[in-house]
Amino acid sequence: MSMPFNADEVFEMAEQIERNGGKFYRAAAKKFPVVGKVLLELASMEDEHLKTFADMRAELSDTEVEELVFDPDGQAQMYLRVMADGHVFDTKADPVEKLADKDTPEEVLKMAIGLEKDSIAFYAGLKEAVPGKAGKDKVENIIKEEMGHIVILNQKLQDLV
Amino acid sequence: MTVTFNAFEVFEIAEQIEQNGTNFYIRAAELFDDFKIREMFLRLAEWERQHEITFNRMKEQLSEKDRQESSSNTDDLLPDPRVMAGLAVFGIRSDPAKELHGRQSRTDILRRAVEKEKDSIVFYHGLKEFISAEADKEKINDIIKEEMRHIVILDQSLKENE
Repeated sequence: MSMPFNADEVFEMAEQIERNGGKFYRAAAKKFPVVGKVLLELASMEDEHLKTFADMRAELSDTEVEELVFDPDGQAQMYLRVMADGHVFDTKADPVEKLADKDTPEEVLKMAIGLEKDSIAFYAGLKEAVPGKAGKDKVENIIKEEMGHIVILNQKLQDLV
Repeated sequence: MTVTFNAFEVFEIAEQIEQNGTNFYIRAAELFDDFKIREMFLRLAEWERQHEITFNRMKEQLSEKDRQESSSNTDDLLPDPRVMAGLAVFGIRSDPAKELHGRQSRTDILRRAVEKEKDSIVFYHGLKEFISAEADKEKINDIIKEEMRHIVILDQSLKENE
């Protein structure tokens, strides 16, 4: 049986996702200048999310840091565990490495949509784990922004077709 | 890009997603002789069918006003336009059961199933924006949690089959 996550660890995973996201968009912009502008804008937005998660993590009280996610039936922990082990959610893997086999801007935009989708599916679980309404609202707002990113990427994809 | 849905249409898409999910899992079950994996897919199919029934009931309970409008009563409840447009990307997909042709590996089918579940979580998260009643939001939250549980089950099966 794995050790259950505490709030600090869950935020650390979210920070890693955003860090990877910013890195991915910058590398993709460099590789595909034709969609570079939009990808750099998205990179900046991921930087902002990283800052939000880092602030939320810093604001955790000493007890909250160690506190386990409220999860009477263990479902949230199991979902978080699936996300953390990198099997179906690549939260740890560096997406920049996967850019190597992408040859067209279309491919990279599709990959980016998949990464944004993964982020939303992760944050939906994270929202369950975050203590307090204020924290949940912040995560909700980030989810909306990630949805906005999908719309931007999808629009760009349609423009290219 | 301007995308507008009313609550009725969003529930119809949700029903379609679940119907597609049921068909996908039934088709996946047909492709395997292994009793354990067949049973898992059939259980998932049955759970998706229950979700479809829930969404259908919620749709039927919408008032005439809700059916026509994008939100229930005040401007504060207007769905976020980013969410509305995001729903269009994730909700309107072709029938995923048609992607299964029997030549895919077990892990490939399991991975497709996980992606389908992620799509559902994203869509239902946006769907909540269209709902004002707390009790109904809770129903959607329960469905989202069940889809998360499906991912846990599929992940377990993936680990056993890789």
